[in-house]
Amino acid sequence: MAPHRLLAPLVVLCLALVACAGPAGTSSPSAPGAGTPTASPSTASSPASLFPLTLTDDAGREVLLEASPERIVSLAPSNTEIVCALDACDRLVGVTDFDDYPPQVLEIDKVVVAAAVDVERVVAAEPDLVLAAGNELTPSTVIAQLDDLGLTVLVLYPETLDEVYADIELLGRAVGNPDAAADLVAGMEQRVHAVVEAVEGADRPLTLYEVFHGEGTTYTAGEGSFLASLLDLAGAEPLTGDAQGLLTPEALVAADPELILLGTASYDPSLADPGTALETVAARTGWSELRAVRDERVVPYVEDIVTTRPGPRIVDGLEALARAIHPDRFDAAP
Amino acid sequence: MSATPVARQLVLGPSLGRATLVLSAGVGLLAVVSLAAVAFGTTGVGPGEAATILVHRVLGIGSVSWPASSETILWELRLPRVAAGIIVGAGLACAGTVFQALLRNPLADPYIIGTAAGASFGAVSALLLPAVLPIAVGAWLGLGMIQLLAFAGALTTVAVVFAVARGRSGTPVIALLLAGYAISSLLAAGVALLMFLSGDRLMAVVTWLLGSLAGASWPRLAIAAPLIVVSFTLLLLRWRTLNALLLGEQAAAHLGVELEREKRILAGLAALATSAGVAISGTIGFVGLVVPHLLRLAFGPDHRLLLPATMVYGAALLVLADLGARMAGGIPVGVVTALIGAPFFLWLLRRSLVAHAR
Amino acid sequence: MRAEREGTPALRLSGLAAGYRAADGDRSVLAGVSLEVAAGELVALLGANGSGKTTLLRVIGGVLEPRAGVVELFGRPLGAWSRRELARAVAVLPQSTELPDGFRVSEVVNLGRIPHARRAFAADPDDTRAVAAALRDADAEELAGRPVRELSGGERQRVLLALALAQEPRLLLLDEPTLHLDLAHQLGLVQLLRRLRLTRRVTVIAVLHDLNLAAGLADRVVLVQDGRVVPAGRDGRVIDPELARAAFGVAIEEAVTGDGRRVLAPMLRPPRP
Repeated sequence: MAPHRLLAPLVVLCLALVACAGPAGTSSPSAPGAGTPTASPSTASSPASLFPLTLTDDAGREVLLEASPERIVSLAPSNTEIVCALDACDRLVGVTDFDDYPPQVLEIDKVVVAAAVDVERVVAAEPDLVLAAGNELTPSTVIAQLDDLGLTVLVLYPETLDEVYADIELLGRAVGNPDAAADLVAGMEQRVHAVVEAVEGADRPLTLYEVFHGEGTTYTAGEGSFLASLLDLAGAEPLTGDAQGLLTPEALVAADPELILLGTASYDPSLADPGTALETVAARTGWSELRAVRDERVVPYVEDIVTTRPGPRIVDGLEALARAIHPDRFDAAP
Repeated sequence: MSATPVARQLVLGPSLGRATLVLSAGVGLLAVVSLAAVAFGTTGVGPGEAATILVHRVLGIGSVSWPASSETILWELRLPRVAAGIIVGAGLACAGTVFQALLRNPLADPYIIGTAAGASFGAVSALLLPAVLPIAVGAWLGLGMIQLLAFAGALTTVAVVFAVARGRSGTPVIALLLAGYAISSLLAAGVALLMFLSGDRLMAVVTWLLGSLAGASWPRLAIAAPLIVVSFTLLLLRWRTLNALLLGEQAAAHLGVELEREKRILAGLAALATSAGVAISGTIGFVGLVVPHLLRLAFGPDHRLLLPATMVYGAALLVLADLGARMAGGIPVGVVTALIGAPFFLWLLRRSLVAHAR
Repeated sequence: MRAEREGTPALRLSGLAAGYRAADGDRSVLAGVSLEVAAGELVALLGANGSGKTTLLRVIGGVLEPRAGVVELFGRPLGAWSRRELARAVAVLPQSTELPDGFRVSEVVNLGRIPHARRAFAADPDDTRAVAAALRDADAEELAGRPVRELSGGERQRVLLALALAQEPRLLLLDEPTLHLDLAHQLGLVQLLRRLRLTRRVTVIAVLHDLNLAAGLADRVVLVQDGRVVPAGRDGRVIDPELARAAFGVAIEEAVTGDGRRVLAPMLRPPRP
């Protein structure tokens, strides 16, 4: 029977691509755009006067918010983090089971279980705002279903730092706290600037960031992806794969990276020790001849979550990257 | 002429009493399972609340004492889902029975002549297409591009299989099976390629292929359900043709069956029911394969009883499987039907091997 | 019921040509067959393997389209009969004795009532009577309640005969009915068919391979040879040894048994010329 024959060989692919967060990938159905408010009142600070408000989300949808949302459901960890960073954590009534920051979100009801959105739970939470993720991270069929049920859905999908800032500002307006958003963004920009300055002038090593490796297949930052842009800001020359981040062994050997950051070490404890990591990596076919392996520049990288979650802590990720790539440019870890 | 003693005792088929018993039991089971599926879910809307909401909504009795979200959950989420389970389960089981008789192959299921492969190809193409095509039509019908292309893909593939399998003197069953297999494999390769190119959409594709009733909604059912019901009705009337086919094609022809016409009608109706079901819920496996066998073992091969029985018990199985799938954390219903179906199938197989050995 | 003139033959073939399509061209099996079978006759068809006996039966049964010629059943051209009408008039006992599993004998015999069905779901009130009569005439009454998987080959054949009789046919076609039967059952079948002629008004055309059986059973024997049908009998004999020799290509000798019956026997050695 056809469907069952397809499943087995493609589970690996499936795992690989799910683990590969943040590549630019195929374009989403509607034109992606940073959230811009199209009809917002003046910059008055009192929350009540900011509503009603029409926002344009990252999927290009125009969403009307009648009043300040008091019951927010987040369908992605990055959305949750932004909401909490905007001081609206207590308004969250539904999160995903992957959400882990800040710690208090672990107590909130889960509406997304094992990456599947349970629409019944979403409806039961009676949200007045649902924050979905774009690019099919929340399936478009689910978004359509939520729309049909009359819920207010904002789709967020930032693919660059600037878009993260824009989403923070968008959510800042949505929750009626634009000032907090502005402050947060300013702080982030400052820290980014500091990183860029710190690594200025340093050699930019050709760096492979390993997102996933299995069965001889390697996934790294996709071409033009968010992760690639972070690596660039952190003072490295990112070795990118194709649009999905797939890197063939031949391409890897031909490129010959100088530095390897094992993002997989964030999930695989056996790679946590630099010595073992080097051995494991060197044992892979063709890898022992890479410059990075011969020079023993294979670094277990445990900050993958913040490096690939496009929320307020993305800057933590950037800093961790910079520190891993140019340790000499930074003091001992704070 | 008075009946001879022998005549009076002659059993010509399932008696009315037996049929009533079997079908009532099935309907009863379906009712219980459906009520359970409506009454239970992953949220707190329990049986009591569900009952009062239904009574109010349907009969207008009682005053509203529950939150709007509970009503939404019950009416817009659970009920359509249960209705979809009934319709699709019945359709798949019925189609499976028909194909098993038509193709005289115990491994036949509703997807065997290409419906699954065609629907998958259509749906996956839709999942990956940018929405520049006129989805306005689909939206008006309450269907998405996915459902439309899945449906179209399924029916087109069956038509192609029939065209390919047509010989100079009719459409031999073996040709249908082989053509169905070959074309399904070709389309499956296409689907695999699309999946490889799909990048981030892969999860969406896999979920669709595994089958799920999660997307059930009243507008979608309004389109698909009539198609399936029409197929049922026309197929139920053809129970004699199906019985005749059990004797083989030549014998059936000698009994008055217009072979080529009936093959097309039977396959066409079964494919219609399957395609409509697949459009609602993706390719759910095992229901169409195992239910007919189980019921044949229990109630005999006479299609006068078997066909309606498979509809009723197939519906009950799918609704039950979906309830299980939901409560187990939203796993795809195709997984649950396989978990229920495969062991049953193996048990059946062992039983029949042992029986024949005696 | 169409009114037929008395004396309308049950079957009339004239100039019949039929064959099969093969990859390397069309094979013509029958070329110019002419035959008339009167209503109520029992005609045996004999012929060598591949001579076209089964093809002939398939044409008469309406499952093989002739290339040329006339086929008339009870005075009407075959093409004028709908499939259902044909099934109410003509029944076939096939060579194979396979029966679908899971049924009881009476249920299988009841399948023969399909061409007569008038109601969507309910059984026709005549069914019980017709099935009972068919079981009786096929000597299968005591098998009625048995599950078919328990039956022997001979029993299955009687069930299939009952199925054919349940159609209440006016023409019965038998395709090598004695092929897998032992002697006792072969004779049993002969007796059965003879009794059948008394209880029903049915024309029978039987393809047989046993010369003596054919001679003993049939009113008339014809030979299928070189794509044509020729009489097997001459000068009052049902089967003439010379004609049979020409059809089968083996020497056939006639002998007389102790009680005066004629018996035909193939000779192991060809006679000296």
